[in-house]
Amino acid sequence: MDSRPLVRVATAGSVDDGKSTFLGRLLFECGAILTDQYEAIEKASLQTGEIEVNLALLTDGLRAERSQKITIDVAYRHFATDRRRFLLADTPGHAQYTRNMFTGASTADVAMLLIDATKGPTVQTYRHAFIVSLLRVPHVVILINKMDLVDYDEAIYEKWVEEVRRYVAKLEFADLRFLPISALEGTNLVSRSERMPWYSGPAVLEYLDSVELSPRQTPVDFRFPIQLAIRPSMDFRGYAGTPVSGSIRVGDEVTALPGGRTSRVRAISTAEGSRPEATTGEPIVIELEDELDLVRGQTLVRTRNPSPVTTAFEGTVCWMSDRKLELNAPIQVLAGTQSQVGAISELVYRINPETLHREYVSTLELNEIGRLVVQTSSPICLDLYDRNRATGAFLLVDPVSNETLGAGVGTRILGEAQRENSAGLVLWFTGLSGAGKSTLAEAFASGRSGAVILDGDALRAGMNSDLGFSEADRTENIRRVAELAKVLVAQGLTVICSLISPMRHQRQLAREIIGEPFREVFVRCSIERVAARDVKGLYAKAEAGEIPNFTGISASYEPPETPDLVIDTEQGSVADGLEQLRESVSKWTQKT
Amino acid sequence: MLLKSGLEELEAEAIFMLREAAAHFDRVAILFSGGKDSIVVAHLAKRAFWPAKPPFFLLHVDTGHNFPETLEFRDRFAHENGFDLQVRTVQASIDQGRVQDEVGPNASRNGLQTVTLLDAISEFRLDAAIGGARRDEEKARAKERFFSHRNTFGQWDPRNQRPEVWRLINARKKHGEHFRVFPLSNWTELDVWEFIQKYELAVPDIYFAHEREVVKRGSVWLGVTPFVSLHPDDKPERRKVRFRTVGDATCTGAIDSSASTIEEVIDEVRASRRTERSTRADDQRSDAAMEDRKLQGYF
Repeated sequence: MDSRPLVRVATAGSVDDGKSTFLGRLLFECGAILTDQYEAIEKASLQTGEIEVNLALLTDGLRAERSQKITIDVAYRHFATDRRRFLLADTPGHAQYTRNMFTGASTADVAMLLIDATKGPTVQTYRHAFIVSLLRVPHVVILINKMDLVDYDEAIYEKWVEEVRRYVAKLEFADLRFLPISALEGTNLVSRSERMPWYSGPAVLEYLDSVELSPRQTPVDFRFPIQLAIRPSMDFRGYAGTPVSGSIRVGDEVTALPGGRTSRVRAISTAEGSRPEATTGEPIVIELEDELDLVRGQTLVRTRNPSPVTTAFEGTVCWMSDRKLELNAPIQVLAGTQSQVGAISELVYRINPETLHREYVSTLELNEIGRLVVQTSSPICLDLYDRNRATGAFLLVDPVSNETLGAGVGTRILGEAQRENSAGLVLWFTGLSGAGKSTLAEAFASGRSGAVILDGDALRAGMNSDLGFSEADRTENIRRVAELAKVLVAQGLTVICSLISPMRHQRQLAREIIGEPFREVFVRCSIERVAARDVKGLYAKAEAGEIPNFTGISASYEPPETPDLVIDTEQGSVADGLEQLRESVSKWTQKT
Repeated sequence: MLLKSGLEELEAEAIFMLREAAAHFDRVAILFSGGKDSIVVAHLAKRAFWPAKPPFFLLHVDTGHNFPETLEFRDRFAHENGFDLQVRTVQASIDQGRVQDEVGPNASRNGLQTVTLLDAISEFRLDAAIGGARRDEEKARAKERFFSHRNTFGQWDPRNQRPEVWRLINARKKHGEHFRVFPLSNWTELDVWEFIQKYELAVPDIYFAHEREVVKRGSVWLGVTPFVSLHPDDKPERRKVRFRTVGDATCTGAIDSSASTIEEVIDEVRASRRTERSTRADDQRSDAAMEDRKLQGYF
């Protein structure tokens, strides 16, 4: 009997990186290309007028892939060495098929990313590295291919390694390696080549054979999502499932979540009969000492090691649908065997996987990745993905079309208290012109429904166009904005007032008009810095005397004495400020 | 912790998928031909729900051109394992005018099965049909999902499949749509045989070497049966052969073999340099023959 373990390997890269040549060569070296398969691709290559046999045809199995000569969907192939069997998920490299790469990498033990040594890492490399890091693929190896074309030069290899390392410094990897190869010449594929004496690590197959395979899940946290109840007769009631992490013994105390009912394991059985214990990955049926009448969607955990149960959580999601993300629309949330109605209540930011920059937008489109807040109508069990790859992941499904909209990893569990309160807030942003009030306001409001911005400049163009910049006019300006904010907040909206509002008595007036929902947010940046930045060119004009009564130059600014929040845009980035703001807002909206 | 063998892991994966199928759907059939893959699926179903009975019945789409040994085996298997067996025939579809027989020397009812299958799915109002297809068999099947969605016409849309991320299954569907479920997706031919060996399962005799009257077609031997029309220059001969796949007699070829036990079959498969689908004339019709048939609703 074949006792070799199965290792799941995902590859990503495009034709240009030599991925097809690499895979073709790897499969060939392992004897995994059979005669009739080779003959078939030979024939297909000739028919499409290619000079050489196109090894990509081995994995590009769909008509569309073969005619466009790109990988669109994940293809699975087997190969093996004497020690291990490998199930290879060959995933597409192009940005427009990111969701398929995400899919292939989600279950991988090892990810292999290819770089062309003549070109170095590309934006695609960075996107792939970001995704395998996000998905916490345990082992990642970056293959620097086409070393033959750069004369097997160590300096070039080191240069690319450095460049990738600089990028990945901001990402998390449990195990990241680099490996120089030439797929075309077969260098460093099976055994280490003499062409690169400066490289002392393993060849690709040696690496795959020796990479330490930890059991797939953390052995501590017992998690058993119930798939279904088994009840063949009145005297047998068992729960079928597979421990997705941890192990369990007869006699152990367990709790069913959500719900919280507790019992002890009476028996563990399989078709072979009863057994004293079971561990991760073994399909079993569990009988309990008490009749709890549990159902699919509940998870058995050890009573003293429960998983979080929540109705709100934050996750990083890859959007997988042509339909754009829509805030607060009903959505089906799938996690483990659970399925709950819910909604996306907030899009915190979109991540540019190529630069790692956070972008503040109002929606996600196909293949984009973003951080969002999901709320569910009833509690669900969700671990943090960092702690558990099996129980920290979720799907978002459109309840009407049944299409899978997105797949994500749980990054933060929000307590019941952090559920959004329907009562609104007025966030009164004060600070010098150019301090970043509007930027912050827009970033905050973009991913949040029910948030409106009252911008001082914009209102002066219309509603307040009769007002000038004398102190009396400024006070009247603020009074009007505060009155408008009061009307809006009463209707449950979150109102962001972005006005310089230089004087304390003016802000006091706003606080009196608005009352309880008012929060003073001081967007702080020194006059020297804003004047130096001078984004709108106003400071230069004010200095030249072209603008009278300009705050900070020819009119004074009184900083708040006890603001509810200070966001320092001189020291911190917009992202930092936004994070601060979000945390405060969620604190202010806590249910009491 | 000890790492499981590949086969143990694949077995656990298949049981997980079978239980998901039972949890998501009310009316489910195992597509059962009496071939090795469907035998393995039926056995896994018995294991998945033990001590309860699997909530599935067996459905066979019979082209009328099957080997008699297989049909006999099919009936015995269902009886001995306590499965309800339903057979729907291509002949009935022909009699009803739903399909027409192909003509010519390479005529086969293989493609006609699709109509009979889809009719049976709607007759039994199936939510899902479980098949034994594996990704390693064929390049279009390599793109399949565990839970593969079919629209109200039974068609597959390979370019717009639901992503299967982690092990989260989105098995939601609308009325009239159905799923094909492939629990053996990640298995190889060798895994199937090792499973048969591990649990000492019975399989039809035609999988083992036997003497048979055959004619050469391409690289394989086609059994001489009443369903195969011979060319004038065909020279039938008796040879010791075995079948690697069991399908319609008109498109399933035999190979020269002396493997008469499961152990010998395993050795032979391990040493083979050709895939099992190379013995199937239905796949040789064109480069995308399988994809084209699957688009229409084939197995």
